[in-house]
Amino acid sequence: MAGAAESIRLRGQPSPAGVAGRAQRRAARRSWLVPLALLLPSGLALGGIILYPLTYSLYLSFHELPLFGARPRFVGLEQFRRLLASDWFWHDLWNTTVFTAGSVLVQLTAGVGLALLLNRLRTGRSVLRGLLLAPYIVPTVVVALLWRWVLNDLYGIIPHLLTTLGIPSPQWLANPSWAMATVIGINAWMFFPFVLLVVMARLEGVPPSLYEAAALDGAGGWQRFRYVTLPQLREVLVVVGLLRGIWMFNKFDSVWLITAGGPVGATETLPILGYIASFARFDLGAGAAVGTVVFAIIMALTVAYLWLLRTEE
Amino acid sequence: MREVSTRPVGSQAWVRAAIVLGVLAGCLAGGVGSVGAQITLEVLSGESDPNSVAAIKEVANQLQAKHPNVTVQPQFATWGDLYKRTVAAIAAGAPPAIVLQSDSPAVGLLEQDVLTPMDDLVNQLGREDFFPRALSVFTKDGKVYGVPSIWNYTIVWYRSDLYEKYGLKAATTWEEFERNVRTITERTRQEGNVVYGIGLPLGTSSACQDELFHDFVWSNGVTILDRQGNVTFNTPEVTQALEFIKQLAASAPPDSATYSHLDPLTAFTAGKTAHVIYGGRLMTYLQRNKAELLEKIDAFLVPKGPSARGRHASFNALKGWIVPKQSAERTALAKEFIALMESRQNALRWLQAVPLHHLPARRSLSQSKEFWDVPLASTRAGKAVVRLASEATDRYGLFATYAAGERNANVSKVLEAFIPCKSVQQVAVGRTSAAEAAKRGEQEIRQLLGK
Repeated sequence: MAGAAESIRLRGQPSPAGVAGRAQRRAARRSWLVPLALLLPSGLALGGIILYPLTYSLYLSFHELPLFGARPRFVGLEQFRRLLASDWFWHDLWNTTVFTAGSVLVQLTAGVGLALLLNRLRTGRSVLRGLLLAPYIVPTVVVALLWRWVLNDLYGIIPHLLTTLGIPSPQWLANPSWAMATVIGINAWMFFPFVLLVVMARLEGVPPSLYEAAALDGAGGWQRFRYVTLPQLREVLVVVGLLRGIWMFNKFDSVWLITAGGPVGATETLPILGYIASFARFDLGAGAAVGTVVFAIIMALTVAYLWLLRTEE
Repeated sequence: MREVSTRPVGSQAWVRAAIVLGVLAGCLAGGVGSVGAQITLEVLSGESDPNSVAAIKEVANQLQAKHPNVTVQPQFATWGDLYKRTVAAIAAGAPPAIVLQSDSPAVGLLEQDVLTPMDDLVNQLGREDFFPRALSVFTKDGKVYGVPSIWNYTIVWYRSDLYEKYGLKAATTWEEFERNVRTITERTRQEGNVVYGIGLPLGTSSACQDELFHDFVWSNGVTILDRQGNVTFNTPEVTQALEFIKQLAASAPPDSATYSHLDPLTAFTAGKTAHVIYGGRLMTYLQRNKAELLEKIDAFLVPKGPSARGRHASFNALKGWIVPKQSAERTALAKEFIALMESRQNALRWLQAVPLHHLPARRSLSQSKEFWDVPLASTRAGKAVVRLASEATDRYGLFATYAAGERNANVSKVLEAFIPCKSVQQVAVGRTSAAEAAKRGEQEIRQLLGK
């Protein structure tokens, strides 16, 4: 082999050093091609699934769009002007805020409370944890139907039990004063396991020495929770609270399936308003305007989330 | 152990990969090409009763046997979602081949010029055989864009055993009706086992409009748009109807604000309510779940309202086959499917899937002994339908999209936006007065229609 190489060089080919240099340069040029090619499919998918709909929705919110065929007509900020001038928008923004705040609060309270309880258990913890996760894995449509039946005033188990005990059962989903609280409760039931999981994971990382030191200092149960557990959980709770807030703010499916925004708009939130505008009134521009406003609010929450995350770090 | 190469991939390798991908893509394309002769026909419908599903599948099998390259794919959605799905699919350029659509949404589509004319098929089935009112729903500028198939109606079902027990008589006026409803609630409550006077679909759904709002607005002699298309929502007659619904709601199960189409039927079947406004489907429900009630119920027409123009009323829904514009080949196959579906034997099976609920839109079927010859017709409930069917359709029946006798696509828009339902809820569930709800409703309709 060496002889052959020598003979090639002798016929006026570049020196080995030159060949190596060019190969290196070519390799360097190609080195970014491979990662790029590997990233391309996911980049295209993300662009198609997230970027395009987002941009198109933003575009639509500045247009009036006939149902079929005709081109969208640019109307500037008119859709937003109409939206902000309508009573329903402010009514639904308030409902969305109440729903989000209520759901997150109940989820955090239930999740932390049960995580603390489970953390103290010596046996059966895994089984209980598995059982408590059940609401999180049940499909939303099943949860909605289940609770509608459970709370039905003619056949539901809860009204039946309350009546048997001599307690008048409220109209959980039919009374405008009760409906929002009920929907918050059902959503909290569905999503508290997420908080539970995250908090349990964090609790397992709290050094026992901190509790031992607190006990030596004479701290009681509440003081240990207040001055040891809570500071340790703070970081996680901020992140989980914000994430859940973002997810609840644009929650559509469960609310729609449970009450469809009723009764008399008592549980109508902004995502439902957007859906009605788009698919009941077929005013896609107005629906997109609602979507854009929700997006802006969620973006603000996300920025707050990232800022808090950086502060924590 | 083999070393993992960290060499950059050479150009030859990229070329090879490209060739392999090209060959694969070619194979796939070839595959698609070879399947190109395969045609899938989606049949979208809101009729999801097991018998109706079986009837559609039977005809699908018949068409598939005739055309081995055709796959008929029945799809089902709630009636409320059907229009949204159809519109979205048409707007996306991938319309379903065939849709069984109610008259109100169908009129909406008709105005958008997205449907295929069906005159050839209507002529093939016998144009003269169709009831003229049924054909007129799907007619625009002299062309027919849908094949009428099912004609539904509403009547007031009541528990005749409770009527006998409490000495009540079938109501002919609102006043009598409200008194009967209230009496049953009060008397059964006194006896310690409350049976609510009536089950009302007060939740956000088309039932709130179809089986409640329309029946009482019409029975008070008015519609929400006049013949010229002017909005006539804020009128004393509509206000009276809203007020009357509120009175009825006082004798309805407390959860009625969550009720949709089937909940009042379920409550009636369970013996929890004494009246329900619905069509003949109730009998199928009872037959499956509480057959003994079939001999303990009877029916009357929606009673007359108190206005000078008060009359009996029945909300009628006409369901017809429509074919959105698509390729000629798919259109031809879609029409063939509909022709098969509407052939005499298949049509009878289809209509009798929910006996005496689906009435025919064609004379030959309506007048045939075969159609009425179903076991349910001999029950007390069935006899009530046989007695009332003609009055509930021919004499007092109205289609939702008709504004004071004229078809008006704007009514479809108002109904799809659930404005009447919202007014009903504001009065019957919320604390808004009927007059205020009618005023707000009119404003909202004007805003929606740009009037």
